[in-house]
Amino acid sequence: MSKVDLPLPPAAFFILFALAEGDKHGYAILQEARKLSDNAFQIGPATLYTTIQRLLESNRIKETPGPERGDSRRRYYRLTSVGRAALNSELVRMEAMVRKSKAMRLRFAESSS
Amino acid sequence: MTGYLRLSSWIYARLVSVYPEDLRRDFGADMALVFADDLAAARRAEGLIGITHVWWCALREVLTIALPCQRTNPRILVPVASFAVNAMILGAELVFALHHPPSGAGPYKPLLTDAIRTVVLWPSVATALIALAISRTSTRGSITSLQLVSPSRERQRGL
Repeated sequence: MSKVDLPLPPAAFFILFALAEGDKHGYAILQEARKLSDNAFQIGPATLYTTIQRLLESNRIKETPGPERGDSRRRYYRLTSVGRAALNSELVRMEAMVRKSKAMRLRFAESSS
Repeated sequence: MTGYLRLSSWIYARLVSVYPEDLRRDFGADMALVFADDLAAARRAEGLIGITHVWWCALREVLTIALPCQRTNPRILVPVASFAVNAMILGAELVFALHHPPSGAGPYKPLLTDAIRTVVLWPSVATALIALAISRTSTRGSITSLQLVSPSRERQRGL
């Protein structure tokens, strides 16, 4: 597995996360990224496509033909194995941080009592 | 699509031209399409506040992504920056007014937003329009064309 630069930028993380469940076009990625972040991460078209451009260049996502009855004006994107590995690494990193923070809170609780 | 959605899409399509060339070439049409979709969805969900929010987000991206690439090009930087900042002020004022509607009765009381509009906003809009006019004039203008055309014309005239 290639080495992944962590942490991933928020936009890259949410785009990879949005594509984890299947191929999507730009606007669907935008909607899914907002949903995944509970609307906390506000992303516009320029940030979306600047990040998509970088993810395509780094081979983390690839363009893919859309569904047959899909909108022909839209381009669809798919997570590659490199992208999935990057997303997994980031999720593992986040999980470890949450574990550590919980452990620290426990210690703080013990020290304050 | 309603008139102002069409107008918004048209303005955004013009703003796309400020972004870096590779992004514009590869994704310009997709950006405009996503903006139009987002704007229509925001209008259905939240009305005017939703539209203002989408525009605020788009203009923030113009300031943070597009304009840093235009640092060496003041003819684009000045009018677009003025437009973006003014539109964002106007949007903030609009959202404020929608959340705090003025009461119908009683004498007129000047608000901070009125002062901002009078002292900052409209003069800034005027500045932006002037800067745009100057940039257009200098693009099509006589200085460049004279510099390029004059030598051959002078030779043709035998001067």
